Amino acid sequence: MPYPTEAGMKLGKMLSVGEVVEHPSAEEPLVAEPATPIAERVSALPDTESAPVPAVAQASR
Amino acid sequence: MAGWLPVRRTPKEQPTAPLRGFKLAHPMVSADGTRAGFGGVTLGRANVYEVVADAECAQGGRHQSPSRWCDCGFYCVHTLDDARALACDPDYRYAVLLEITASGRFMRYERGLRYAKQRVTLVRVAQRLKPTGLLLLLTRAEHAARLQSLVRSGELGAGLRLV
Repeated sequence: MPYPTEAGMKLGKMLSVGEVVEHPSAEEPLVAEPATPIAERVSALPDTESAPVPAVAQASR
Repeated sequence: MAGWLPVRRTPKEQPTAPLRGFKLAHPMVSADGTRAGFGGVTLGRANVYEVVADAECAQGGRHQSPSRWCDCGFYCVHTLDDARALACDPDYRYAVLLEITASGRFMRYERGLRYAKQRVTLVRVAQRLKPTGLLLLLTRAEHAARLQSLVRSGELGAGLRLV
């Protein structure tokens, strides 16, 4: 389809094809995830070492 | 090789920034007045798009848009003068003129682009009248006011302007 039309207008001959990535602009700053110190993340993890072993797990040993 | 047509590859390009263009569209405001969008003027007249939108095949195809084998996709012209010339057509007297940036896959033609992703950066309604006057002609009075309010508040997208 070398001569597509929109609004009754011919765009003319196709010259080239390509791809352009829209970079985030200054108008739309990226929203960064709030940084959480690693120590806080680790302390938030459940303590699996000292937790009692479930009965099902013990029985299967 | 008799009967074979010579194959001419279309040149490829990879711009580093979105491409600028101009087009016509019909301004629209949702029934509850919280959203605004634009309706296409010919092929895409059944679809309403917002400030940032991805093209879909207007023919109902499931292929990527635009496709070389289909006429779907967003369209724009390279120059403001070409867009203004279109606006003189009586069929488009209720359309506004948009300035856009095009990104994603695109096809470059002599006078314009066909492309996959669009961001409206400017709505021009003041070609002969002041914006308010022309918007009142284009839409119902409360919608005209709402559209201006949505643009000015930045709710339709940061950086969008109405002149």
